Order: sequence, then C-alpha cells, then structure tokens
Amino acid sequence: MNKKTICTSMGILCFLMASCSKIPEMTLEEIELHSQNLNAELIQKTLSKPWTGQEFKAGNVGGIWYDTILSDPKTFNQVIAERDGTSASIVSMTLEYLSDYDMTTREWKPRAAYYQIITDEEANTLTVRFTIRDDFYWTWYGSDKKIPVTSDDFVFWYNEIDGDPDMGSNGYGSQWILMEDGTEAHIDCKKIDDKTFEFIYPRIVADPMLSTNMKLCPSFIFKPAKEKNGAEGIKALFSIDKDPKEIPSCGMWYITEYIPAQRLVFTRNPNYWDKDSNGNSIPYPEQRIYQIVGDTNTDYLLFKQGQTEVYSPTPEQVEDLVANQKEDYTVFNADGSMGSSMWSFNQNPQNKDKPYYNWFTKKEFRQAMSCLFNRDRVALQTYRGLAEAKYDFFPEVNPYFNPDITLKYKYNPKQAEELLQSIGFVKKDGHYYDDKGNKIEFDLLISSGGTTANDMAQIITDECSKVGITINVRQVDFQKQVEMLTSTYDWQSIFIGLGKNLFPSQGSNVWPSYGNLHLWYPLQETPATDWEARVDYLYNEGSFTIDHDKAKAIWDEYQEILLEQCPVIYLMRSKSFFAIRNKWDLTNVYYDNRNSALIDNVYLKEGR
Amino acid sequence: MNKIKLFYLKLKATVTAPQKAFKAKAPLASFITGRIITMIFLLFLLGFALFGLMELAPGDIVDQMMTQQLLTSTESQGGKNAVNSLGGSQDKNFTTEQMDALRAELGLDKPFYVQYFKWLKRVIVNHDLGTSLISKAPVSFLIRSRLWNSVLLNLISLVFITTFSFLLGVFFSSKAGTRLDVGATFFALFFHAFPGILLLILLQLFASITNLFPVTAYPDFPFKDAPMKFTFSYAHHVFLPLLASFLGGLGGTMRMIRATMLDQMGMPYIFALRSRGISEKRVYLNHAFRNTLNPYITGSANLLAGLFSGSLVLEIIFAYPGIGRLMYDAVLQEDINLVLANSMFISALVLVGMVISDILLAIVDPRIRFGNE
Repeated sequence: MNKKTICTSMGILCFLMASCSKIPEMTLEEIELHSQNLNAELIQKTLSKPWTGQEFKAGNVGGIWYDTILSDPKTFNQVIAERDGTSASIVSMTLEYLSDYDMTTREWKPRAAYYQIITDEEANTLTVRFTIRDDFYWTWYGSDKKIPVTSDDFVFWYNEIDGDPDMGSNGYGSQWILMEDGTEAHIDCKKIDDKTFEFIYPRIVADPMLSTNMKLCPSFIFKPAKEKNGAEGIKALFSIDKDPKEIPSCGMWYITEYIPAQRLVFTRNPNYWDKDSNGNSIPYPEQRIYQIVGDTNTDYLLFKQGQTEVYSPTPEQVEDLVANQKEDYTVFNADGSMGSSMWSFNQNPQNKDKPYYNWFTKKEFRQAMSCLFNRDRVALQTYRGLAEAKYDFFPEVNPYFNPDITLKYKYNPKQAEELLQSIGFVKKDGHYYDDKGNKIEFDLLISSGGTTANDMAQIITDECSKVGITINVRQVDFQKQVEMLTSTYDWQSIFIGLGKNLFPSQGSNVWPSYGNLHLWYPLQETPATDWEARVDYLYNEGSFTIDHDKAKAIWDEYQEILLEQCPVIYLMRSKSFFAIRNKWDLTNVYYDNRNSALIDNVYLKEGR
Repeated sequence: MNKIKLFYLKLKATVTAPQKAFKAKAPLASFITGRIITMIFLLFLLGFALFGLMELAPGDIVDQMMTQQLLTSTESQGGKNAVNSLGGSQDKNFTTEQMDALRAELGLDKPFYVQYFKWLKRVIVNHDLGTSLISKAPVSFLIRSRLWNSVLLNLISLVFITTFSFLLGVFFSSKAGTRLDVGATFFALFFHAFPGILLLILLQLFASITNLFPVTAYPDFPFKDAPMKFTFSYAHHVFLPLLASFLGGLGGTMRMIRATMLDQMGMPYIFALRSRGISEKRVYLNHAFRNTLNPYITGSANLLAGLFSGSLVLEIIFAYPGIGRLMYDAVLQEDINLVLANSMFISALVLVGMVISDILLAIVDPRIRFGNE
C-alpha cells in the first residue's frame, strides 16, 4: 500500500461519511408551517403593483428590448394567423383593436375608434356606430407614405373575410345571432362614410361590444388581391418568405426582420396614434428583438444571463428567481389568476353502456368528487403555497360577479362519502362499488408534459384512494385530447382549461347544451337534463337583457345552477409572478391578475 | 406448363442480355446504375409508406388548427388580449362544416395514395415542393433557411470527430495495454455511453452558472450585420454543443479504429513487413492503417445524410436554428408537404451515401472487384 492509495482511500471514506449525515425529518404540519413562512418571505421580496387606472408618465424614446418567443411565426397574414396562436400575437403588434375593455372600471374604452351604442326599443334593434380617430394611419417602415385608416378597412374585413365562407375564417359564426323565434339572423356591418361605420344588430343584445371588437386589414391591399384571385389571393399575401418591411402597420410596431428559427425584429412605429404628454408615440424602445428559442428552460437561462428583459416564471422557478434578483431585476406578484383549469366528467350517452356513464350523470357523484379535491394540499404541494382555490363561477372582473355565490362542495371527505352512499354506492373491503356491483374506478386524462396538472392529478388520485375510489391518470397529447373531446367522445374525466368568463355571454360554445365545446356532452339537439335546459334558457335570456338588475337575477341563478350541478369543477387560481430588468424605469410598469403585465409604456432609465 | 417455363426463360434471357453485357463491359457503371434504379424504387416506396403513416396518425392538420384555437383560449392573457382571445377565439372555434371545407381545400379529403401521386406529379413534373399546409410559405424556403445551419454544425462536428478519432485510435493502438490506453479507453467508453441529452443539459447549466459561455448555440445577430464578429461569436456559442457532440461521438469511432488497428497489427503480413526491416511508422501508416479504412467507409454511408439532418435535442436545448426543430414541428403538426420533402431528401442522401461508400471501398481496397465474382 503506497501513500497515494492510502490518501485516495481516506478521501473516499471521508466523502462517504459526509454523505451519510442524517437530515432531521419534519412532520407534515412542520412542512406546512415552513412553506407558509417561506411564501410570506417570498411575497415580501416581490412587488405588488396592480393597475387601478393611473396615468402613464411620459418617457424617453430609446433602447432595445430583448425578448424570446418559443416558436416561429407561421405567417404574417392575419387571415392565416387566426389558426396559429404565435402568429396571431405577432401580427397583432402591427394592428389595432377598435376598443378595449378596462377591467378596473369595467367599461369599454375607445382605441382605433370612438363608439356609440344606439338602441331602438320599439323596433328591438341595436346599432353600434364607430367613428375612426383622425390620427390613425397605415404606414411602412422607412417610408414617408401614409394612408389614413378608413371604414373600408373594417367593413371589408367583416364582410369579405370574416363574412365569406370561402375564407374559412373562424369569425364567420359570430356574425349570426339567435332570434326569439329560434332562427338565426345576421349582424350587418355597413359603411356610413370614410370614417364612420355601423354594426346593426337584428335584436337588442347585452354585450354588443364583444362581437364588434374586431381588428382591421389594409383593404387597399386585400381588396385587389381578392378581386384578382379570390380567397387564395388573400391567403397568399404576407407569407414569411416575403420581406416583412412590405407589411403596413397601424399598430405600435413594424415587423422589420425575420430570420427563420433565429430572430424576429420589430421596430417602433413613430406614427402610432397613442401619444404621451410630450407628443411622442408609445412604445419607447426603438426595437424589440425576439430570439426564437424552442424551450422554456433555455428561455429562463437567457433571462438569468441577462440576455432578455422580462420573464414569467413557472411555480417551481419562482423561489430561485426571487432569491437571485439582487439589483439586477425586480419581481412583481399578482393575485390568483382570473381563469382556472377545470375537472369535467363525460356524460355523453354514446358511453351509456359503460358503468362510469351512470356515475358521471349523477350530480351527487360530481359533488362528491369536488369534496375529494383537497385544494389546500394542491396549493401547498403543487404551487408551493402560491395559489388559492377557485370557488366562484365568474371572475371578479365579470360585471355579474357575485361574491355570495360560491361552490358549496369544498374539500370534505366525510361529505363526499355521504354523497356517494346517497346514490347507492357501497363500500366493501375499503373500496366503493355502485349499485350494480361495479368497482368505482375511472381514468383522468391530463395533457402530457404539464407538471402542475400531473401533480394535481396525483393528489386527487391519492385523496380518492383514501376513501376507496381508484383513479388512473392518463397523460395524453393535447391534440389527442381535443380529438377525444370534439369527435370520438371516448374519454372519462379530464383536466382542461377553457379561458375565463370575463363577460357572462362569453363561451357560447361551452355553456349552452348545443355548443360544440359543451365539454361533458357537446352538440345536444335538445337539452339532456332539466338543469341544462334551464342553463340554456338563462344564458339566452341574459345575453339579451340590458337592464343590469334584471340581468343580475338571471346570471345569479345561472351561476348557482352550474356551481350546484358541478358539470365542471374549477381547480386552482395560481398566484403569478413577473420579472423585469432594472435598467428599465418601472414607473409605468404594472402587473396584476386582470391586465397581466402592462409594459407598453415602459422606457429606459435615465443614463442607460 | 413446360412451354410457359421455356417462354419465360427466353424472355428473361432477352431482357437481361443487355444488362449482362453492360455488366461485363463496365462492372462499376453497371453497379452504380443498378443502385440508382433501386434507390428510385426505394424512394417511391418510402414516400408511399410515409404518406400511409401520416394517414394512420391520429387527427390531421385541420385538427391541429382546432387545437390551436383551444390553446389560444386556454392561454389567454389579461387585458384586451383576454377580451379578444375569448371574444374572438373561444366563441369562434371551427364548425364541423368549416373543418370539412378546410380539408377539401387542402386536399386532405382524398385517399392518401391519391394525395401521394399528386405530390409526386407536382415534384417531378412541376419541380415544385409545394407550400407548407400551415403557413402557406414555400417548403423550399422553410428548408433552405435552416439547412445550411445544420450542415455547418454537422460538418464541423464531423471533421473534429473523424480527425481526432483516427489520430487517437491509431495512437492508442500503439500504446495498447498501457495505463494511458486503459484510461483513454475508459473515458471514451464513458462519454460514448453517457446520455447525450443529459450532457447537453449539464453543459448548458455550466454555461448559465459560470457565464463563461452563452446558453444558446447561435449568435443573436445575423451574419450580414458584422461578419467577423459573427464568426467569433458563432465559435463561442457553438463551443459547448460541439463539445457534447464531440465527446459523445469520439468514443465509438476511436475504439473501432483502435480495435481494427490492433487486429491488423496481429496479422502475418505485418510480421512479414517487420521482418523485412520496414520502419514501424511505415508499417502503421502505409499498411495497417490503410486496411482499417474498410469498416469505417462501410459504416460511413449515413455520413452524407447526417450532414443534412438536424440534431433535434441539441437544437431544442441550445436554441440552434437547424432543420431538426422544423421537422419536429412539421411532424407534430402533420404538415405533410414539409415532412415528405425533407424525409425524401434525407432518404435520398442515405442511399447516395451508400453508393458513394461502395465506390470508395472499391477504390481504397484493391481486393474488391465488382463483377469479377
């Protein structure tokens, strides 16, 4: 044995002994307390700055904003972009909406145009008249050419693109409205003059701004293309192999460079209508350069290296992000999100020969499942305490949100067992069986790759197994899930998110029984249950009731029914975080669960 | 029955006579011609199989669009985005009629073999690879814009791996049995067996923690902006991913060269050469080494295709703008035009590579004589 061998052996022995040191184990209560303390500490280190209608301070033009996108744009043509989320968000940076909904004041605010709602109670018709602002132009990067935006740009889009079945636009369906006699009538759009146009509703509706709040297109380009080559002529415009500088903009940005799989560059539009008190158009950064990265982890590492300006962390990244902020960046926090994923059960009669169909169609079973969903445990384990349960149906920003109407079936295993027994379920050998002797066991479908969904599903599985119900979690690709939901209907239960009901009449294809996304049993010819018939009636009544008090009574009952019947069980509202580099002046930066991050008015700090 | 058999044999003799004559006259040209004909037939079958497989996959591109609609509504932001994504998305999903119309527009309502023959006609007759079903952008543009990035990365990787594996393989074969050889073989095996994806992630984390290297593999500005700066920046960016590819790829080739060299060095002809007093250097490099090329060349049929193929994992983790990511997305989105164009191109390269490797073998190894069997 030489010295070298002895030294090496000693080193290995020391390493092994150090590895065997025992960390004292904590009880569940201690873990919970520790987590709460950690979260309180975490929140303290972040900034809460919701936007409540503050004026934006005038800033200085300059600087480059570096950011990332996770996938390439497929097109710069807004007609085709409708079919791709990434492309749609990119194209929208060169366009403008007619109006915007202020979630704080719960009112519509003009953007591209001023609006006026004219109701004719005698004729039972409603007109929304838009008058386009004067300082609103189509311009091109590096050119002095200015073309005023006119009514044609909106009317052409509505009638010739959204309104033309050959275009295959998904906006076509929203141009029709259900009349009292059950027929469908068209919402017409007509030009009054160059700056004024109207939407004429064949009957009075409660939220006319929702379906009229549309984008526009440069009709001087689109119209000749359609006249020459029809729908294909329009679809051939602005593809990604063309020079993006040819695309006119009336929005905040021009698209000035696109290198596939590498980067996308936007340049500030100095002619944008929204100007600060100094007469400068927002935005302030001269350019936005987006690096195209295919992976969220790379995105995070780029932010940590200081290569990008902003980052929205996942729940598991929050702690690390907050701990490392120092003077480099600031982390904002926002309360629980407006929307939430939901847990739904298949009630499609196509599966009526399957045992689960009889369970899922009983409201007591669905209520019991809600009682077995341990929301506190999910908040603690999945979201590290940074989430809360969603017990209401409408979010707070909805004009008909009622804090007194909440879910009665919160976590309570004892109540769950009582509910199960009330419908004839019997417990044998620690497991529940239905009245026909079938063991209560079913699948829960979740999207593959979703870590939070998977964690939640495992907790639900564990909680259900404690009372004697077996749930098998199946991870399926989202594409496959959609196929199951919309065509094969061969799923059992599912976690899925379908946005938020900011307006009660939103989700016309989800909540009424005839909707093609009426999750639990879509496209019903006649409502399958009395409560669904009632929901259909209330939805329809509420959509056409403009008197707030009358409508409130309708929407209150609507929410109560859905929270009582539990066709969907809302899951969690996660707290969200957002980090931004301190080289930017944070005066105009706001972050909340209503508006997400407001960074349109951000500008560089003095001397940067 | 016999008449039929005789007729068949005569017919066969008549048909194959020119081929036999050609083979006898120019064996190598005959071999290459045969390979090209086989290659065209194989490509035809491959395209057919690809179309069939895409047909068997659940859903199609129209379903993908529907999924996108749903995703948009599930991922909506606050503010005006939320209003518009819900007002303009959740309530605006495609109807069944619209989806059918879209399928008809994209030609997806036809049987897959009809779609395939239409595709073949467009490619062969019109010399047009078509447009992506999703973006309507020309397939040639989509592939061209990423292809050379993949070629550059793969070429650098190939040159380094080949050069070093040959040098080290030959060197360590001369040190067989020594501690140095055992150590080198151990490390070569270790990195060869080490999961590539894990190595890439670890190297990326190393870059993130130390800040010595970028976490992406490609500069964030284009070549035309500053060519010289771009070159140095590219080298800096690509160092870690190349290192991962080098460490993973070196072991296999190096061990093959080393083993073949050792095998050759034990041969009687080497003993004879040494007994004639020929220098060890000449024995190694002029005689033994030349014979180690055979297995390498035989196994290098895929190199050409490898040059033009993407490195999916590397491209995703290090955000490298290569062809792999494009193809991955195309397959997921069932963009058949894009998938088929690229797959057929790569398959053609594999087959061409096989032909080239066979020709090289014939050139390198004088013992191989086509047509003299």
